[in-house]
Amino acid sequence: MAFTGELAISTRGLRKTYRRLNGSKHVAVEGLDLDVPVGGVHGFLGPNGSGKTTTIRMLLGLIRADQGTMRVFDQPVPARLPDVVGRVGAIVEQPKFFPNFSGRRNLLLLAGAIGADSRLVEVVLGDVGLADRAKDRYRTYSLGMKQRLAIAATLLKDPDLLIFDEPTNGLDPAGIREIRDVMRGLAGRGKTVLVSSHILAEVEQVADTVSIIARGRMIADGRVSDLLGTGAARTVRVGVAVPGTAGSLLEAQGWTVRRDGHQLLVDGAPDPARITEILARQGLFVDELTPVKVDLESVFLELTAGQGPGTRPPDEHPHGRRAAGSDS
Amino acid sequence: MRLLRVELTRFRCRVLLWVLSVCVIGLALLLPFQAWQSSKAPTAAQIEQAQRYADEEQKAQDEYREECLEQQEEARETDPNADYGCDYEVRIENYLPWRQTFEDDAGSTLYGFMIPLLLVGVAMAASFVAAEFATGAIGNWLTFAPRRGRVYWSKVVAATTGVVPMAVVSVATLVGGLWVAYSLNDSITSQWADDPDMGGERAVLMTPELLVAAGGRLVVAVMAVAALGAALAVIMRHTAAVLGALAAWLAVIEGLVRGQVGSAFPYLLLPNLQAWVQGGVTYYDDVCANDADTGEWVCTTTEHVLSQTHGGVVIGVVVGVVALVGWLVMRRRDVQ
Repeated sequence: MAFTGELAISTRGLRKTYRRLNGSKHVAVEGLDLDVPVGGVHGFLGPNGSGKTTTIRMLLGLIRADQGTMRVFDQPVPARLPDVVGRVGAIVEQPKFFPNFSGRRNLLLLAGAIGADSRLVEVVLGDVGLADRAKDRYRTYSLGMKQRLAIAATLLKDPDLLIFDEPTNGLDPAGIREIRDVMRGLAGRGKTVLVSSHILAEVEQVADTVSIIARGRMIADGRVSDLLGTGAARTVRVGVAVPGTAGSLLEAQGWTVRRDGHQLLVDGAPDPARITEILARQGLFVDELTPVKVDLESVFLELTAGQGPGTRPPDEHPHGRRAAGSDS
Repeated sequence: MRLLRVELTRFRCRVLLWVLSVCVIGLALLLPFQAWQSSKAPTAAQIEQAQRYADEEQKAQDEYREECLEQQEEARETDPNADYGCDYEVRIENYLPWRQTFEDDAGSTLYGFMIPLLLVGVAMAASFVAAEFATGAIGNWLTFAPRRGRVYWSKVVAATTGVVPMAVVSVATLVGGLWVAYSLNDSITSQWADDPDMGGERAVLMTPELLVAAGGRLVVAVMAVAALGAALAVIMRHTAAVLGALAAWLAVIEGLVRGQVGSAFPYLLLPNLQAWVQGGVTYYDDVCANDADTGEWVCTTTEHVLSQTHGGVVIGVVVGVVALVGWLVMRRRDVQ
């Protein structure tokens, strides 16, 4: 995968508020600056309610932004959306088709709407493995089949940008893997894939770049490798016979020590060898010394100080919001 | 045009719309059958029985005639115009079963068919459009066709034209069926046409040409309410909400207001639909006030005519306004 430096999606200062039934306002997206480079898979991550779907809906012209600007392939949207919509395929949340029409009928209608050749319907149905069930009513499809039909629908346009909003929700492991393979395959064909998810580990396996948002604000973005590198191996798991004493010794070095059963999790040690050295001096010998693997989930929890879905605003975060070496 | 074509395809594919169409066409078939039953010539037994009743009545009339004339003479001493109907001639037709004729009854049958046909038209259009909002498919649709104005008008126009086959077939079935039914029984001409007591009534009797014209206007009315239903479906997003709102409107506005405020009659939906289809309707308005001389509360009933043109204009304005509101809602509303 090679990034060209061009942006498939770019938003600046995007804001959206919803009015609740009691009249109060809920800010769903607050000043969001999102950049999605052309090419590869871009993960759009954040907990439930963080504003991912709202952002995607604004990009697709389904809901109106209160403030801010959005561009898709350098065209301002929603003003010029009709000009670029042919290059964009999207599945927003659960696929929504006409339940009493067959899969084929649903796709034929969509193909008719964009002037696509009706023969293409059979091709895309075959591509997603739904040719055998194409004549069945959509409402009889499993969730995985519905997702595949939605992907087939997006392929009718042969889009340059595909937007998948929580595509693996409700899918079994085989279905999740299938969707992942589809996304990688599309990226391999030069498409740009924007995939939103609240399951960070899942996206980590497939994304080249990510944007992480919480409470409608961007808290980090960049290449996955760079983001993982920002917190690489600073936590070390230590197995020792006397964890209490060992913990006190390590804390005396100014490091953060947490108990995890009979083991210790040590943050802030510049080098794991220093741990063995300090403990060995006191006659304590480690039986395990493992750098804790850093994943997106732990990076996210670190960035948001583990406060869960709400999290704190990004400007309070000591590491800032962009990963080192970010190219987006 | 591309979107309209797709919408018409979707319209054609909806099973519910076929079911509703079949129901209303079935009703259109049933009514001529009923007309055929009700326009049969009386049987020999019925004629014989009627003759017997007429003879008995004539005999009683003859016996009473002298006494009647005397009482009439007495009455004329004070009122020269007193008429007790002593020369009343008993007619056998009065004792035969009522026999419908095309000229007398075809019009009222068509006008009676108007309400169910209009309801089916509005239900078809509302369900066609609201289904897309209720299932959320509209969100998916807009990612393929983001120009909301075009999407909206394609749906409204598709709903408006989609009901035409159903309306044309059912109206043609009814109009043609009525003509055939009455013709089979040789019951075209009004029983009152040559009745001297009903002189002048013949001018308003139904003719095949008038019935076809009224049927054509009924098809246009179905298209109008279909456009209304489609626009309301965009605004309300659920078929049940549209039908509920219309039912409430009919009950409260068309029912209560019509009864309480006579002057509102020319601006209500149903009277204008009737005026459009029937070529004008007559209504009466009571104007009550204290009489200046006697001080009594006196009501004067005034006859008004709601013309076909008035009906067409009012319906057109209502449909146009609701369609524009639907367009504005479609353009501005967030799609979840």
